[in-house]
Amino acid sequence: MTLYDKSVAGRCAFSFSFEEDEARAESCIPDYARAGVKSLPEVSELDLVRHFTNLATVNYGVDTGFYPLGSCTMKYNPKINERLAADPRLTMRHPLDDVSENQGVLQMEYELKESLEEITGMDDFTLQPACGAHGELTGMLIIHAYMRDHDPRRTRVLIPDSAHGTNPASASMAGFQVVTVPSDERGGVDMEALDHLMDDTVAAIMLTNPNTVGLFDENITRISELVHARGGLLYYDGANLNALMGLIRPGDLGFDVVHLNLHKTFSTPHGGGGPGAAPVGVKQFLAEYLPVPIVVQRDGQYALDSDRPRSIGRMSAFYGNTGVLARAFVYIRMMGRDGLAAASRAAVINANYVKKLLAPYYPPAYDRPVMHETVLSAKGYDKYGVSLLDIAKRLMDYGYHPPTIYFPHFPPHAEEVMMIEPTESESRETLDAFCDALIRISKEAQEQPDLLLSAPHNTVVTRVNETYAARHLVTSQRDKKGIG
Amino acid sequence: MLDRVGLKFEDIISCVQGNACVEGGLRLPDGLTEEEMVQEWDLIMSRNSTPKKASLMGGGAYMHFVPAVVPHLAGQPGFVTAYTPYQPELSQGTLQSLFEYQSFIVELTDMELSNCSMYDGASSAAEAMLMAHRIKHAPRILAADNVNPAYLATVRTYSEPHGIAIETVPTDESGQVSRAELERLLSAAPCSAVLVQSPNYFGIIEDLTALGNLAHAHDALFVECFTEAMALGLLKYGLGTGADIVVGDAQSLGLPMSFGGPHLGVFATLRKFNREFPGRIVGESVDTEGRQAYVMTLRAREQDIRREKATSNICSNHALNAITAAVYLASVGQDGFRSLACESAAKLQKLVRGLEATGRFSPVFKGGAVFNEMVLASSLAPDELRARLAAVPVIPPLVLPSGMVPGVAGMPHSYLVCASELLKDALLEQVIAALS
Repeated sequence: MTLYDKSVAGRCAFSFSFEEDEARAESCIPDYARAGVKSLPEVSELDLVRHFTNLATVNYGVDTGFYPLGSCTMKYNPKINERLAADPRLTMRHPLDDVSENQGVLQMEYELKESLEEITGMDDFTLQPACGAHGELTGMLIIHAYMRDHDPRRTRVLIPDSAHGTNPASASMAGFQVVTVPSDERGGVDMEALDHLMDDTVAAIMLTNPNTVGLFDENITRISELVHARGGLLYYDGANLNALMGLIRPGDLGFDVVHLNLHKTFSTPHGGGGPGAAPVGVKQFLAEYLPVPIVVQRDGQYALDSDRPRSIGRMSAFYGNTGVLARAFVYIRMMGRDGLAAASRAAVINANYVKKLLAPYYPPAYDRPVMHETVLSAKGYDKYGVSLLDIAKRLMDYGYHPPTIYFPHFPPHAEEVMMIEPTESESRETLDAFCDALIRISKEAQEQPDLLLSAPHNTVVTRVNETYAARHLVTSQRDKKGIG
Repeated sequence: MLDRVGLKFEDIISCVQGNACVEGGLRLPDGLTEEEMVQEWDLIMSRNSTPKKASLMGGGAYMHFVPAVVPHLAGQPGFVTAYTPYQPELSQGTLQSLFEYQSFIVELTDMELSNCSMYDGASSAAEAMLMAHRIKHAPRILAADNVNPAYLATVRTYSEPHGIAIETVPTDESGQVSRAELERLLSAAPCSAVLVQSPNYFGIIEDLTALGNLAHAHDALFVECFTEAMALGLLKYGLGTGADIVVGDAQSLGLPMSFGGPHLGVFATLRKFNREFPGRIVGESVDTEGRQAYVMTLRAREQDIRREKATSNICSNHALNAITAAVYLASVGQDGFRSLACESAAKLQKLVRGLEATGRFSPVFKGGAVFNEMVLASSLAPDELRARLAAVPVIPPLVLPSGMVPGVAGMPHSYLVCASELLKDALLEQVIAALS
């Protein structure tokens, strides 16, 4: 039931001492602009509390259980982050107020920027982008602006076939034509193909390293030399940085632009689909193109600098998702130098542990050690009449969120692959229990395939009909009323 | 752990050899305990000024009363620590809450389809321009010059690589978009969209129907924008005024200003554009037992399926803030929301009367109807105004750059003044006294 279904005329959860005359206020609005009363539910406070408490309860989150969603880095979100980010001294700041009022929040942002520069080996950062795809767009617009000034023939961008869908979508939104680079048999960029494609129309190559199959591209320095020698730039998608902190830095590998997903590597919660934050770092020669404003330090005071004539402009109305940046700031300060390196190390160990335990039942896409995540195949199970989707749904009955499934989709691993990313947060006991569940499901697939085909059984709803949703499009209460 | 599976860490990471590795660790400080962190945080945050009780500053971020249930309910771990609801069986909480958000936005904007959020009002407006360009193909957009300047700047950033020219339509002496100029510019060349904000940056309510008629007469999409979602409680948008797309920022719906983010981008449109709009949307469906269930739908537009041909690159949006807005709207209810909109509007009227009575302030745009923001000219310079308000717990009004609005004799400074339900009479009197 929705809140509209629970609504009773005259009920209200709101308590406020109004001082003004409502009718007089209405009369100030010209007739052509004044709307009638718009329909919103009328519920008591307790009804409201129960409604959303029950909805939150049927939702699965990291706080509920293991969430090995590959490429999404569902690590634990420390509660101290939430508490400090809710500080009214932060939340009640108006973005346009005089900077003298906001020195603390600007200091926090400046210090976060410095930490990210050190972690990635980049020279400067913007904190403005709101999430990963927004960061990608920002980074690609920076490259677009740079090439417009230096080499306008370069209108194409190379993207490996293993990349996230956001990469080509972002490059396209930034005005580039996308050219796909195939992967070689070891899962990395096919060097011959790259050599062939990398000409004077190419502005950049976008890479995720480790890539979406969890493999570190050993040729990265060669790729960097080749692309730079022919006048292109390197873009680093930081989605998988969680494998590398303190080990190797994208800036040292030759990347010119990076974006970081703070809601992945830096522990800010995902919120069921954002808000995230995705700072973008650049090498010095691109710094003048960063979006405005940029937080700077001058004579011990922090300020916002908008006087940057070559800037790509604004990516949003203000300065970024400060509330999210604050959580990442707290995470980095509490982890410190050794803690961040230890987190990446544990993430890599956990992924390899899971891969080895599951390999006899779900063969790895590549027979070599992985970094922070592993891609496993469920291809053989079709002979029992079950698909990867059935296996994933059955995992829910065991109390786990399934891994990412049917991704990445590139040859030769286009079918029936699942991407497992345990993260560093999980104990050996949790990983053992999860692997046991997948091994039991492997047996069930052979002996009782119906159990998988009808799964999940223990969830609040069983499988949801996606085709029905698209054909009978109901996306609001107004649609429902129209149909009723 | 690695012993059990017969691996050595050094072997695993041998793949990075031959590339430049970090030597001697990152140059970062040692980690802090939670207790040390609290002290460190306190030290930094004490460098901010004390939070105020109300804000005379708006311009895209607004201070409003937030009921206690709002952060409490939206902050539950089930919502906060979940990922995007790719697996509907485990995500009915997020999915239904987003469906409720969409329902409320459809009602408040009077549109047929709302996505489940964009990043903020500015990026939402920018995406609307790209969508209009996909539909109409004309590489030209007309935007009112009284649209929030940061929104206009964002629209330019997004449009530039696509060769879309953004031309601005001037404001007339009443503070509204000049209809004569709009008509002239529309007649000059084809145009994909007309972007108008109401109340506009100067606080003036636009005659959206009249502007929409002009846009449609020249085959352009009409895009309505708002920066203050509280106005949705009192003002007409959407189908009632001829909009093709309604965009805006809904920070006012239960979210703190948070130094500008995270806010909440609203994006609502017509059903006929359901293959064209950006962002995610939740639809109602059924499970295998025939029970009502929710699921993300119209997915074929999205980046993970369409890659470079997607309608947008957006993937994560501001879902948790959309849930927050849904809780807020349900908490204040339909009468409460209307009353809050009226209270903000009435408080502005009272504030302006008081300021005019000091003899130091005067409205710049005479006769234009306003909601909760208004441009006032003043004889007080920004430094003096700030100094006089120093002892009053309010954020001072926004200083407008000189030349942005017409001058008023003897009053060389101009301010965008904002009021809300938080400007209680006692506080309002303090403001007037300080400026008298």
